Amino acid sequence: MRNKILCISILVIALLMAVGSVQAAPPQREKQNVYGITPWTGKEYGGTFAPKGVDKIHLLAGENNVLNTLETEVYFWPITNEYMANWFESKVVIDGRLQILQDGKEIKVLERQPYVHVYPQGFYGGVSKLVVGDEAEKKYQEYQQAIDDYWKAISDYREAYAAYEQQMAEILKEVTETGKTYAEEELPKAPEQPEPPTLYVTGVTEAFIVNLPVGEYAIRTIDADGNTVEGTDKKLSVFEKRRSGVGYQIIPESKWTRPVQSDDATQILYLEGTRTMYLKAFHEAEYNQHDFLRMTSLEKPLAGKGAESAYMWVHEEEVPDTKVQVLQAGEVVMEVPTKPYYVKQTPGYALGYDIVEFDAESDEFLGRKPSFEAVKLELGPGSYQIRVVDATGQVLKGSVRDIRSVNVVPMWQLYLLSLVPLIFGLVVVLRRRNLRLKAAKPVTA
Amino acid sequence: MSKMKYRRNAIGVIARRDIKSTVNGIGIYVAASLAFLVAMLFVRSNLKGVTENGLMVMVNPLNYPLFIAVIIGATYLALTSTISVARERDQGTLEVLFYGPVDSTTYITAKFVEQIVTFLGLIVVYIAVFFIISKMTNFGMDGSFLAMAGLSVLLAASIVAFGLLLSTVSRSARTSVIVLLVLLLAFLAIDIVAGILNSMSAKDMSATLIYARVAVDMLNRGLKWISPFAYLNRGIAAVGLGVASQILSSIGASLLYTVVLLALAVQFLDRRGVRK
Amino acid sequence: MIQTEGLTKKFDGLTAVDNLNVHVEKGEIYGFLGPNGAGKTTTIMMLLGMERPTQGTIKLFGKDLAQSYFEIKRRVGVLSEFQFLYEDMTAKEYLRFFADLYEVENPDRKIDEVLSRIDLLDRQHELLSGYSKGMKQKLGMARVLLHDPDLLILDEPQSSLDPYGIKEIRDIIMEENSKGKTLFISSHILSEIERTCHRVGIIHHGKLLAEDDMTHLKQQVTSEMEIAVELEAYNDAIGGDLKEQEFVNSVTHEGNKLTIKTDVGEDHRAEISRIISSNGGVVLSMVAKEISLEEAFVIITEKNLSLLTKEGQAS
Repeated sequence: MRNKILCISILVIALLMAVGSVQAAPPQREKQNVYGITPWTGKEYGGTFAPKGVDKIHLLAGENNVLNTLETEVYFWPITNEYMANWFESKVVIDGRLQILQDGKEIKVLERQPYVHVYPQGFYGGVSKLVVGDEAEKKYQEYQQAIDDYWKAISDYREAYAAYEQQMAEILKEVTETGKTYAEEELPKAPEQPEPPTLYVTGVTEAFIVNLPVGEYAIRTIDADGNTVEGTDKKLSVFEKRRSGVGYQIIPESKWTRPVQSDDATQILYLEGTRTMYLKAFHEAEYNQHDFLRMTSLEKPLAGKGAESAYMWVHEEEVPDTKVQVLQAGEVVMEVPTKPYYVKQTPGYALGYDIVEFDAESDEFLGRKPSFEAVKLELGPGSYQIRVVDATGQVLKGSVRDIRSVNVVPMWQLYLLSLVPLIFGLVVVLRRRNLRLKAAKPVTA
Repeated sequence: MSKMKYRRNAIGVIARRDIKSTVNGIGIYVAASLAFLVAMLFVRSNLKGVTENGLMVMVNPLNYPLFIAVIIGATYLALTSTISVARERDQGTLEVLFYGPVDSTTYITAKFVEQIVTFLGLIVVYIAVFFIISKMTNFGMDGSFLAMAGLSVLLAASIVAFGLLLSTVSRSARTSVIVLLVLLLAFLAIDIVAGILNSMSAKDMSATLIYARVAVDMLNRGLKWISPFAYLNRGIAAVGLGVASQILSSIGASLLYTVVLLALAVQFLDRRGVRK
Repeated sequence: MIQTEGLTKKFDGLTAVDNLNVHVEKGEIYGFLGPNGAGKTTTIMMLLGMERPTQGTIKLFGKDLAQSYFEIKRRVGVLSEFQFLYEDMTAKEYLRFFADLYEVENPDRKIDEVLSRIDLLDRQHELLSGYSKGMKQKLGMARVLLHDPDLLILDEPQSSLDPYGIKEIRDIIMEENSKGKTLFISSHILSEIERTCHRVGIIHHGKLLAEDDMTHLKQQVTSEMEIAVELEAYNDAIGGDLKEQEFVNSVTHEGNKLTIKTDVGEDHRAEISRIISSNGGVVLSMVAKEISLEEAFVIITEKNLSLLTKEGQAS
């Protein structure tokens, strides 16, 4: 018995060590020809790549998408179940052209084009735009110019600041030594620090810009002799959104860190009693879940698998200057604009908070930024409809939602209601039985 | 008189007799009450969800209870039609009917018409009760609820046709009932699990769940033209999209499915005969 | 009215009905006889389209059933051996259901009429679950009569009935026939068949062995006719003279009762009477004793005697 336990223990330890060694083993790196893909996802440009094991690329129709044929080192990272590319150490652009085929026939051959991503609100400030061709170079130059101007402004500023400091030092000395006084307006003004440019433009790169209508295609990279570059034969599925609408992010006043979403117009917002909420409206599009996830995460073999028949709403940009109309019985009862709000922590051990309107002019909010911008609604018991209107007063399609305040009903009333058919049935059966008994005579034949 | 007229009369007479028998029995009332009791559990859960969270976004919370009530009602009708065909054969009354101007098409159609008319009565009761609940709770009755109620007639039609087919294929009533229940439960389970998996955020899904979703999706695709629930889902999706052509084609497909099942039932009844 | 040609039904290699050629004329009562398992019910089921023939054709009212299914079915009334009723209905409800199915005009009047004929009018509101076997059988007959069919197919119509019931059904059969209706009756009560049917067909092991009217059928199964004569007084001259006649096969006597056996075919009773008178005898009674249908049936089926020269052709 003891030997048996010992043997089992050794086996278990050996197995664990073997598993450990597998876990610890570095992933196998392999040089591969891949497609680096920067797809337009409806809201922004994403980033993924199609390694050897992936035979189908998904892209949105009617949009500029960036594809590049590259050689890199690829390995599979089992912890996150995804392929990784070692772009930093190995990234070679493979010369050639991109041949696009449909039903076996060539429909297009693309040459690489220069492109840049332009971020008008800065790299962290918003969505980028893709600029292609000669315009790309111009945009990049414009950005470089802005940077140069900025550095020049910084340099000027430093000089001005140094002069200002010098002036101030002299005034200080004079004041100390002579006791002379200066009025505030007599003092020199400190130079203003220049703001860096918000515009950001990526460096000019060359790649294939793919913009196709909905359909199933095949792509391959061909070299100067017209031969297919190894590993570049892929299928290409170009899809489009199923429908578009307006989605809401609803921030409950009671749980402001846990907003809820309303993506589909069939969804109803239910409230209990009187509730305050803050609404943010987004343009949104509905995509096939499989296609969308494959488009954005091609490096993950499991992305979108099994979701071929499912659809998902994707929030795009926020509706600017949202105004929400509240309707009751078909009549607009209020129209509420978007305002900035600030979440103010309340002192004390309760760790509560208040959401207050943000007033940039008020000293209370000096040096602070609003926590969020939204439309504030406070609705009491009843049934309502909300919708978003644009600056011209037009109702945005797909923005109508029902809001209902529920009545708390004792459950016994609902259960009692369920028994009504049974009670009715018993009455019917007993009545029929009585009729039969009355009609029938004893049968002796 | 034309063949169609004779047939129409026979269908009407047999269906009327069966409807009368159903209305005079306790079974349909028990099924309706059971359907409501189960549906109320979902109503209760949704009501509780709103009161606990203070604010909740969801599609009409009466849709799912209605779906459950429809399935219970339609399954009850399918079971009764399955049992009644087998019982009529066992009791010999089926044979007596066929002595007269009744053939397999007439009989199966009559059984089907009976169940659909009964279901229409049931759905009217369902709508009335859910209307009361919607007023009591202020859950409301929106277009999606009414679309669900309308499409549920097609679901009931296909479930009943499915039951009739099984009753003509199987040797005994017990086998028919067991096979019908097992298949409907399996279809429903796959449909519900697929619905849950599809509603989960795909981005944060674990590999195990993804594999489960792949397996369920494969099953679902295999059942695309077999499971009655698949037809309902297509109908609901089409109504949600509001595309008339899709709504019509989903209704057409559902009707075609029902007609094919009924035609097969007629063929099997013809082949097996009506005698004990 | 009914015409089958080469009707055959096989079940898993077993031939239930074999090349059956039945012909039932309009207005006749046709007895369809055969021992248990002979193929009678299978034949009836094929006539009604409830079993598909393996081979052969069926015509009812000169039409193919498949072509004029509903038209034919509405002109046929069928009574099966066992009554399968909706036991949750009353007799009135049951008949009303079938009246509607056959689209009977003035259904209430017709229902009262048929219930009166079978003496169940005062029990019309009782649940059928409480009916006795005989009452169910009679109610089945009422259902058959409800739509005034031109052809009645009755399978054991008098089984489960008491003598009164048997008479009631017999009377109905005769009444219906007198109205010009055709009846196809399968029965085990051969005395009833003999009393009511114009022609019979005898089926055995799926084959039609005989089909003829009653007299010819009996004649075909026996070669002699027995004539029993009661005399005022017997004398040897009578016996001697009779024995010398060519048509006489044998003469026996017991007291004043004579038994004379003759060839079948001609009726010799007048000649016998004359011979007895010429020899001084006085005839008190003379009865020609025929073979019964039951005896003929036993002979035919036991010996598997085919009285049809070819399939379907009477000899």
